[in-house]
Parts: sequence; structure tokens; C-alpha cells
Amino acid sequence: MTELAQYVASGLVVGAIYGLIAIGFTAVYNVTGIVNFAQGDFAMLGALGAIGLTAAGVPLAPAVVLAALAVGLAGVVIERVAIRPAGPDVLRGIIITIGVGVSLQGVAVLVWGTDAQPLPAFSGEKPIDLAGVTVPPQALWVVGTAAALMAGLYLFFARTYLGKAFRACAINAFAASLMGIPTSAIRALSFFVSGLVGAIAGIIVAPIALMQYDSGIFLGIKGFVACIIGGFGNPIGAALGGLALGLLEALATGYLSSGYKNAIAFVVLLAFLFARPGGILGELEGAKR
Amino acid sequence: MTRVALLAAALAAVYFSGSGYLVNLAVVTALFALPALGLSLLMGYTGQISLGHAAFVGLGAYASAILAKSLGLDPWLALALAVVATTAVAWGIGWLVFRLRGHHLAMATLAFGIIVHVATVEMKGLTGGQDGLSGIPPLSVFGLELGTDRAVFPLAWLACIAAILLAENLVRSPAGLTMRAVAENEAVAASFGIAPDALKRRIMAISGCYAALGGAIYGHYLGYISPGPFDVGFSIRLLLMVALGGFAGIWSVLFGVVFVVVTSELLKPFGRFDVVIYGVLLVVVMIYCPRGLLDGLGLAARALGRRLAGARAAE
Amino acid sequence: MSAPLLEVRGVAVRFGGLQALDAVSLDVAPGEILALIGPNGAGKSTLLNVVSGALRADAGSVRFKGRRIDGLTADAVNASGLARTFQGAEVLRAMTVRENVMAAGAARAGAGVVQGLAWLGPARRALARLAAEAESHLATVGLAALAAAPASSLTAGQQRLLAVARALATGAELLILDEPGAGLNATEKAFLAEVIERLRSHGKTVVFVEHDLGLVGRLAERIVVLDHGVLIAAGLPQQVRSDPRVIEAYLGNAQIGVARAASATRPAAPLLEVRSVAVSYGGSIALDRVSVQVGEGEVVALVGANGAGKSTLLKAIAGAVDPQSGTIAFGGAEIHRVPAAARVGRGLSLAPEGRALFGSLSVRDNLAVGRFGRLRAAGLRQILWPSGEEAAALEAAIEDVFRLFPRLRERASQLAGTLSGGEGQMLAIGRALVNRPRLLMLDEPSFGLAPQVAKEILEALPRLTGQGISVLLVEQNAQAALQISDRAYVLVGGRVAAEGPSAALAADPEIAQTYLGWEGARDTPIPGPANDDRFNRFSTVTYEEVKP
Repeated sequence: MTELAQYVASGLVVGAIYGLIAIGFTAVYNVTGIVNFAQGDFAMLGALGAIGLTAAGVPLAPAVVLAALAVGLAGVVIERVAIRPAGPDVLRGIIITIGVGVSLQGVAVLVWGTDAQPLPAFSGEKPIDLAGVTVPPQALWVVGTAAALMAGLYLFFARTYLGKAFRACAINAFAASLMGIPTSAIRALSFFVSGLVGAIAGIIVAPIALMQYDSGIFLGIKGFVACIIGGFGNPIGAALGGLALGLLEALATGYLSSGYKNAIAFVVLLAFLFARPGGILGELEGAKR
Repeated sequence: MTRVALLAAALAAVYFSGSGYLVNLAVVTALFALPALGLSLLMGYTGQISLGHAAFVGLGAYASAILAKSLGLDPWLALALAVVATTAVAWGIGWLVFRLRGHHLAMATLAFGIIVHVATVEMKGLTGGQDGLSGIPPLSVFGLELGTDRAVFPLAWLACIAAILLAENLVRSPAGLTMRAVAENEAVAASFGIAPDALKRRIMAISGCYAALGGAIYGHYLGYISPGPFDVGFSIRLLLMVALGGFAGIWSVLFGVVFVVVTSELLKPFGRFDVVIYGVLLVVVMIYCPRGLLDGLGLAARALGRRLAGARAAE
Repeated sequence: MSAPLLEVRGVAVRFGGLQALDAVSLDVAPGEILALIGPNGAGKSTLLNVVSGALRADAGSVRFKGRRIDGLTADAVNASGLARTFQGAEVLRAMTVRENVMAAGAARAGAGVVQGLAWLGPARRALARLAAEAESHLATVGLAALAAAPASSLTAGQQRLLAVARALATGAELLILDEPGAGLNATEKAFLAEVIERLRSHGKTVVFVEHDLGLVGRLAERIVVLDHGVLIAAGLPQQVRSDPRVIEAYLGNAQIGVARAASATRPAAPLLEVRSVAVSYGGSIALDRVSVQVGEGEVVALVGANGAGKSTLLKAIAGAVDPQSGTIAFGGAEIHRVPAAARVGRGLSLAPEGRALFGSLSVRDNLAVGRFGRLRAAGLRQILWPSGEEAAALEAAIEDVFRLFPRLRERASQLAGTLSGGEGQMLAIGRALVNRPRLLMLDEPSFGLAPQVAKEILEALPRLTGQGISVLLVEQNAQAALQISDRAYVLVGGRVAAEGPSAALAADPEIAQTYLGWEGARDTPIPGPANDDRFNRFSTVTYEEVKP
């Protein structure tokens, strides 16, 4: 029984990360209609950025904040330089975001090399015992930060005026522009949010999962799968989808073999794509009327 | 036909140049060009996306290697069977994925590519896992083993040229028109009596066939294969080759392949710059040169020429 | 009497809560030219999609040459001998004109992918045959000279002709043309009519959907009329034209309870002045030098049939579309260079066509978001969290909307996507009112609404002038619009065909004919403004004359 609880615990931790990445996807998709294949690389960049800063002597907390903000800004720049000029063609948009992701990986290799890097755990390494389940303290950081971030985003979008304007823009950009809502500023903001959220996801998981230049690929794919499970465009679905995927992976790793862990995500992906492309919670109105 | 003659002349020059290095590069180019041509037929002419094409190359390589090594079949027979089998698999995957569109399709193909890759790593009994398969019997012609660069060069390029000619034929034919119609507007194509999904499956099959051929020849020529080269990175490099070539244009795809192979070599002494450059190049080409790098450079050159001429006239 | 070529029996289609087609049955006789007409939203496109296999009906059957084709895929339907064109022409822009036509014939050419690879005899011969046939089809539609041109370079009229050539190339016996005359000028339409007659003399049967009733009158042997998914009339052109149900379907019939009082005595200064605005969409002229004025405190209606350019005019005023020429002045200042998002700040509000509500936001949130322009002008802090004066002003504005439309108050926290059609339209109007505009523009507010609901909404509009808001209303329901407005313009084919006080226009017996643009018997030529008395009937009442 404790074995099961252990798997559930690690599944939740990993699931929280996938959920954050998935939310990053949704932020961009809802406003622009583009699936940003470089989303996972934002996480990688945030993590490596924080690692680099701490290695250079910057204390942990400011390093984390700086890295997250820097990646958010990078997202804004990428939107302006690579995404906006591309136009509405879906195929081109996909390939361009792939190109962006590859570029980010290349930059990571140049700056930090190809070795995996560690980030010091936020509050030590001594495992904590929670009702028979041992978790590293970082796990609590992961779940706690993810929950706080999701709650913060929820409050922003559901309760603040700007958040509602944001959602309006995502639902129908033409009508939003009729109200005077600046759609291009909102686009830029959505990429900022997606970069920030992605970077934070990468940073909080970096102490327990070594990050390197190509870690972003799989994180991105898993985040995408989480979106598909929860229904593309639905942020709550994204979070729940992430948790579901994390749990499935942990259970599969525990009861089957760890080699097939990645395959689980893909089998789930294909199952949903063919059976229920709308996900469990269904696609939201999304970027179209 | 003149293009083929020029190509043949260039190939002859390389072959007899005495440089083992150049011959090796040329062989690599041919073996990359085969899957790239297949991908170009699918993405460039039929407008579909495939992010997992490395899987077909890998399937061809592994199938042929396993048939030849473990079952002791004649390497040529193994190659033929592997190509046929992979073609069938490609058709089947097309049956599964082409009901999807846009980013769903892209993700599904990526997923298949990774599943195949993971399978080659995990199914150690069959594929040797990460250690790979060695001792793959080489192809032989009249007793001459095609295990060295110079020996396999003619086969690789014969296959490549045949692939180019067949692809050109296809694009020129009535079927080529149906492909282009489906690429641009499926509803309109259907109103012409074209069944879009059936067509996409057929093109996917041909595309898989080309990729498998390249993979199988590669396996027999090297004598050793491992899962490493058939990963997501390779799929993306194929994507880059096709994108640089402007997606559509059989000969420009060849240009794209040559460009990537040559720049890879040139960038080797500079460490890892190649990845960044490829990424940035992909973005730039997609935004500014939708018809390919060559075309884009041509446009830029003409624009520059006009500006210089204008400046001169103003003096 | 030979057997019908196409038999449609009891076809029904439902989209969510909307019955798009309701037990529609019709026959198409071989060799005839049949027109399918009806106002916007009647279900014509839906019927076309069902017949061509692009959409599956919920009930009913479609038989072609005696065999059932409902349930077949679109390409299978085409293979059995029925071809359709699309509302947007949809030429394949990456190909030349000739290649477009060849592509249309390629599926029947008998040379598939395998033969294509090998380039054997069959493929070579098939290609040559396709090319020759393409030349002949292009000659039939008069595009032979443009065979080698890229399809993207064609004008709107030429694109429509290309679509006809493609339909021919598929070898079909029955050609269904979707708005073949859209965006064409008078000469092009005359040529199109000739081409269609030529097709019939080649043994083809033609069914065409059209909004231009002039073209229909000239060309159709028989007419079928759809309204709200129901077949309301079918027969010879003379019968259909004078059928009161048909006229009512196009012009509307809502009897407005509160008719607009005679124009107030205060001098009305011009609030909006549109001068000679022209808009083209890729070669087809949507607005041809249109001039319109709205005064302070006025309700002005723009009426006209579908495709007349009414929506385009509103979009040009709102800034969503850039006019090629002409000027737009609002409140005395020229605004045609001001970007769309900034026009809202100046007091111009548009409730767009189809409502465009934010479905997953609540009613109250939809209204609140409508005030974004004003809040933004009050400072960045306000758009994050409105407070103080701004918050109070926002609440007051929302209150005003609830007073105008009490039903919205009851549903304030309901998601906008769950509202009924009428409530949704109220919300769309309310949303446009929240930033206290000086001019409210409405694009087809009664579209898709039951007459009773439309009446309720339209009756509320004149009350707005009491609050200092002028109204510019675009409506297909001309009769209702004329009753609640002070003045009106009738747009036909992108031009102002008539203008004047609404009461005068409503009383004119000829208004139906002007509005609909019916022509005379089939062999009279299509008239242009220069030689038609009707266009001169209402000597254009200029602004100065309306002032008391």
C-alpha cells in the first residue's frame, strides 16, 4: 500500500510540472491559435539560466526570479520576431516554433555545454516522511509552487479586469478589438506568461531531475499530451491532464518497466487523438468564435 | 535530362577526385537525400506534415539488417522485403494519422517517430538495444562487396537518381495535380472527385518507401546500426533539408541536403554551433523564403542588384 | 415528362438549436436552369452541402439519376456526375489557370499514383488529354487567353468563370453553382449568363444559388425559394416574383408597435459623414463611392439585400476595413486614418454581425469588457482593477444597460454562450453601449431571431436617442428598420440606390422592387444606373433639406 502511495506521490510531483507546461501551451494557443513546440525549451532555459546564475554566485532566490523573468521576456521577443511575421499558416507556424525550439537548444549547448546540470535544492536534501511516504523537500516545493502559480493564474484570469479582457481576446480577437482591447499587446503578454510559467516549471524541478539542453523536448511533448487529455485550450483541463499523465507514468514505471515510461505518454496521446481529440473536458471556444 | 547529366558529371568528378573524404560526403548525401525526397513529396507537394520520418529510415535499416543477419536471407532480398514492409507500415500509419489535421497531425507523427525509436531501444532481443546490431552482411554485386565508400557510391547514387526521376515523373503526372490540389484545399479537391485521405496514404507509402531504401542501404554499407541516428533530431534535420529546399521542387531538395551536409562538415571544428544555426535558419527561411533558401538568396541578390543599380543611376 | 435528374426528399438538418433545413423536397429536371434563392440564413448553402456530400443530413434522401447519393463522400458524389462550385470561388492559387482545370479532370483521367511514378504511356497520354480538354473548357467560359496565367492573378469575375470551367472538367452532368455572380459587374454578369446558357446547350443541367435577383430573373427557367430552412415557393419566375410570401421573406414583416415619431425639432448637426467611400475585396467592388450621413439624435437605417455592401460600410466606419478612397469624418474630425482600436475611444461603437459574444465570460463580464477603451484612457492601473470614479462609472453604465434590457439583469452571472438568440443580441448591443458612445452602429441585429424577439430589440433602439446616442442600423428586415428610423439609405450592389425619410420610403410601393432589384423578363438586358428610372426616383434628399 505504501508502495502505491509512493508512486502516487511521485506521480503528483511530476504531474504538477506537466500541468504547468500544459498551462504555458494553453496561454499561447488560446490567444494566437498556435501550438508552441518550443514550450518545453522555455522550461529548459529557465532551469539552465537559474543554474548558471547560481554557479556564478548569485543567491538562489534572486537567481530564480531573474531567470524566470528573462525567459518571459525572451518569449515576448520570440513572438515579435519569429511568430508574428509568420502569418496565419498553421504548417509554417508549427515549423517556425520547432525552429525556435532548436535554436534555444543550440544556444543552451553553446552556453552551458551538453552535460546535465544540478541546481541546489531550495531547502535541503533530507527526505521528509509523510505518513509512510518519503519525499524529498523539493517535491513539496514543486507541488506547492505549482499550486500557487496555478491559483494565481486562475485568479488573474477569472477575477481581474485585465484577465477578463485577455480571455475576451482569446475567444474572439475581432470583437475584442472593437472594444479597444489591444490585441497585439495581449499576444505579447500571452507569450510572456507562457515563458514565465514554463521557466518556473523547469526551475522547480531542476534540483530533482537533472536538466540539460535537450530536456525540453520531452517536457514539451508531455505538456502537450496533458493538454490533449484535458482538452486543448482549457487551462483547468491542462492542469488536471498534467496530473493524470504524471500519475499514469509513475504507476507504469512502478509496475512495469522504467524504459517504457516515455512510451506511456505517447500511447495515451495517440489514444486520445484518435478516440477523443477534444480531450476529457473538451476544447474551449478557443481562439475562434 | 540535362540536370541529370550535370549531376552525373559532378559525381564522376568526385569519384575520380582521389579524395576519400569527398566520396564519403557524397555517399552520405545520397543516403540522406532518399528520405528527404520522400518527405518532400509528402510535405511539399501534398501539404501534410511529418515530424517522425526518421522512424521509416530506421525501420528500413533494422528490418533489412535483421532479415539478413538473423534470418540469413540474401542481403538484396532482405533489402527488398524491408522496403516493402516499411512501405506497408507507412501506408498503415497514414490510415491512422491522416484523419487528424494541423498540430494534432504534427504531434501524432512525432509520437510515432518516438515510439519506433523507443521500441528499437527497448526490444533488446530483436534489435540489440542501445548497443545496436553489428555484423550486418553487406550487399554484393558480382562478388564485389559494397562495404566501402567507393564500393557503395554507385549504388547509393543510382538509387538516388532513380528516386529523383520517379519523383519528377509523379509530380508531372495527373497524380501530381491531384496532390497539389489536396495540399491547397481538400474541399475543392473532393469536389473534383479526388479522395483526399486515400491519396495522402499513397504518398505516405511512397515516402516511407524512399526512406526505408535509404536506411537499408545505410545499414548494409556500414555493417552496424544503432538507435541513435534515427531519433527526433534526425527527423528535424530532414525537415530542415526539405524546408531549405523550399518544400516543393525535387532538385531544390537535393540542394537542401547538400547544404546541410556541407555546413555540418564545415561547422565541425567550431563545436556545437550547428544546432543554433540550423534552428535560426529554419525560422528565417520559413518566414522570409517560403520557396526555399536558394530562391530566397536569389531574390535577395536581385534586390541588392536593383539597389546598387539605383544608387549608380543616382550618381 | 422525363424522370428528374435530382430528387431531394424531406431533407432536414439541425445545428444545435437551429433547424437549418426542415423537410425540404425539390426536383431538378434534366436540362433545365433552376435558381435557388432566399434571404440570408435561409439554408441555401446547407442544402448545397447536403446534396454535394459535404454535409450529412439528419433526415431525408437525395437521389441522383435514380440512385441514392446522400451518405456518399463528396468525391464519390462528384464521381457520379454532380459537380459544385464554392461560394468563395476558391481557385487553387498555387497553380495556373490551365492546371486548375486539369486538376479538376485528373481524378477521372485513369492514371493513378503508380502510373505517375513510372511515367508510362497511360500517364503521358492522360496528361495530354487533360491539357486538351482544359483548353476546350476554358474556351467555353472565355478564359482561353489566360490559360497560362497564375490563378491568383484572376479578377473575382474570372475566378468565378474558372470555377465553372473546373466543374465542367469533372465531367459532371449536373452543375450546382454557388453564387456564380458574386462580386461581378454588370457586363461580367451578362457574360456569365451567356456561359450558363451555353452549358445548357451542351446538355448540362444547371442549378445556381444567387442573391442577385436581376441575374436570376434573366437566367432562370424555374425558381425555388427557401426561407428559414423551409421551401416557401417554387415555380416560374413570374409567379415567384409576385408571390407575397417571397416578398415578405426578403423584406421582413415585423409590425413595430412603437413607430418612430416625426423627426425632432432640434437642429441635427452631422455626427458622422461618410463621403464617397469605395472598398474593394481583391478585385470585386463591395462599395462604390457611397456617401452617408448620420446626424446627432438620429436613427438612420441602411437596408439592402445580402451582398449589397451594408456590412462592409459599417466595418469601414469602425476601422476594421480600409477603404480604397473616400473620407470618413466623425464629430467633425477625419477618422479614416485612425486605427480601429482608437476609434472606440472617440465615441464610435459597433455591435458586429453575428453578435460575436465572449461565450465563456458571464453577461456582466461581457458588458464590463466593453468599457475597456475608456478605462485604458483613464490609466493602466484601471485596466488591471477599476477603482474609484472609474469603477463607479462602469457600474452606472452597466446599470443603464440593465434598465434598457431588463432580461439581462436576471441573467447577469450566466455565461454568455448559454443565452438565447434574442438575449445574446441584447447583450451585444449592451456591450457596445457600455462605453457611452455617441454613435452606436448595429450590424443585422434581427438576424436569426424570431419576429417577436426582433421586434422587442428593434423597438428599444429609438429610446437611445433620448440618452444622446445616435444609431446607424444595418438591417435585412427592411420594413421593420424603416419603421423605427428617421432616415434610410437603400444599398443595391454597393451603391446607394435610394435615400430619404424612412416614412416616405416605407410608403413607396416600388420599394420592394428597388430593394430586391428584380429584372423584367428573361431577355431584357441588365440595366445600369444611368438608364434606369428607378434609381432616380427618390431625388437624393440631401442633408440640408431634412432640416426643418
